[in-house]
Amino acid sequence: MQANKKESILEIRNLNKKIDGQTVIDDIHFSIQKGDIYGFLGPNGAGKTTTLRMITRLIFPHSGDILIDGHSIRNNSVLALSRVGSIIENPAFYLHLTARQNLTLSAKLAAVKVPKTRINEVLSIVDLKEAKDNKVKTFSLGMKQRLGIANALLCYPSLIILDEPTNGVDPMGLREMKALIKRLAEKEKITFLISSHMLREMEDLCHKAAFIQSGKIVEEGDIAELLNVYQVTNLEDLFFACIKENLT
Amino acid sequence: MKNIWALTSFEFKRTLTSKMLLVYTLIYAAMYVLTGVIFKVYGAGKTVVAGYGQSFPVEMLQAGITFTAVFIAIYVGEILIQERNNGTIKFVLLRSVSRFQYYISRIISIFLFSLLLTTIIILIGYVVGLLFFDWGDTFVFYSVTTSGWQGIRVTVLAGLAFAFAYFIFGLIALLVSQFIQRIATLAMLMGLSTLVGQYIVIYDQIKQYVIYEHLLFFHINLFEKSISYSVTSFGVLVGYLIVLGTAGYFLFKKQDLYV
Repeated sequence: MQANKKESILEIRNLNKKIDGQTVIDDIHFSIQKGDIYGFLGPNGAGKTTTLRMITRLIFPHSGDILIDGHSIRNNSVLALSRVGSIIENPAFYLHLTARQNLTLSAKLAAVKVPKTRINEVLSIVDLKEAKDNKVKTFSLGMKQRLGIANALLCYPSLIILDEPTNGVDPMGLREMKALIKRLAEKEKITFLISSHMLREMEDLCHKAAFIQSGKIVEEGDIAELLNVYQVTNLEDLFFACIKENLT
Repeated sequence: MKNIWALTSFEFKRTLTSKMLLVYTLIYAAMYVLTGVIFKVYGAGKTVVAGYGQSFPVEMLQAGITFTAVFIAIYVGEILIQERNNGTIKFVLLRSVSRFQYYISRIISIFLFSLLLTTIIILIGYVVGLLFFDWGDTFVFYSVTTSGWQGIRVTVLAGLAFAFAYFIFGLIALLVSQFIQRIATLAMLMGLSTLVGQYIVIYDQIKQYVIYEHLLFFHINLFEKSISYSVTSFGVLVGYLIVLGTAGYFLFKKQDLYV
């Protein structure tokens, strides 16, 4: 009940997407409240990245709408996305530039004024301050992921969207990333939408989740409540229980 | 406006420090030196130049049509296809940059690159021209015979006309690049189009409306034809600019970017 009182930061309304005549996202809808760490979970090819691309306006839905902080992405995508930081599929940077130069360019393109000190600040948060003057082409995948998070944090976001953020991250890095996300959610009051097919890794991170399978949301809600409803003990079992329920 | 400026200045700085620009400069320099050598060995009849250092740059503009067209196409590929393939387009679009701002920044970048390339060509022309022929006492360019500052003025005007025509050609490449995945394919297609296009301009009735006519002759016709002819040609190029810019933007605006 407490969660329902919270303000919604992201609302997905009856979203549909067809690619080459085939429906890949089928009337999905869910909403995320401020302060949530929300898991968008499902197997590879389920439609997670496609949905996130639609949220960030890289691709366009055939029907439906997306509201971020009350602003429709159809009507004013720049305003709607002005306080959103994101990594979609993999973090992309200009490899011939240093981490600092990439973030400087990113800051110049931001809707909000980003002070120069903010660049060092976000690099410190992701523990990349020592590597700030190294070219991104010398970075490991894990370092690029952390730089991606730094870039997402740059404009004081209220919502951060992370698409498979644990890809290519070693166990140590994974632990640090989870701690970082939890810290940011608690201290900075940032809402997270995290997609992943690695259900076990998301288990102790997300409070709520939507399970997506073949472009459809098969279940959505508070993870603790869902575990209780389906009488299972972990996310993986919960996911399969949801699919089974959906098939029957 | 802030975003357009930030993106354009970023692209321009990247171009100025790119290895490709150095390669283009060396290719033009080699071509110009070769022309100078052939002139010295075989005489004026074997080249398109008259043998005066001051008119060498403007005479040589036309010689590089295919090279210039390919270089422009490669540049367009770098600022759109490569951005898409490397995913860096999302680095920009996931910030508060609208697709309109992004596309306008690409158009301005192509304009600046056309100007930069033309400036390089003209400067190389002066250096190589001075080395092989000295300054000379006469400036000769088709029916224009003059000297000194007047010759430089004609060269600059012809250069601007040349750059403008290639800018429009770059806009065609920008539109086409939305359907192509590889820079090499775009460069080959655009380069081939100039070879074919040279034959289209034999039809007098349509040639003034064909871009290839302007790639080859706009900078010459400016001095050889009537003012009304030049105004019409300029109007045709502006028409291309409006149609290609608008059509390209609307395509880009609706395009799904799987990056």
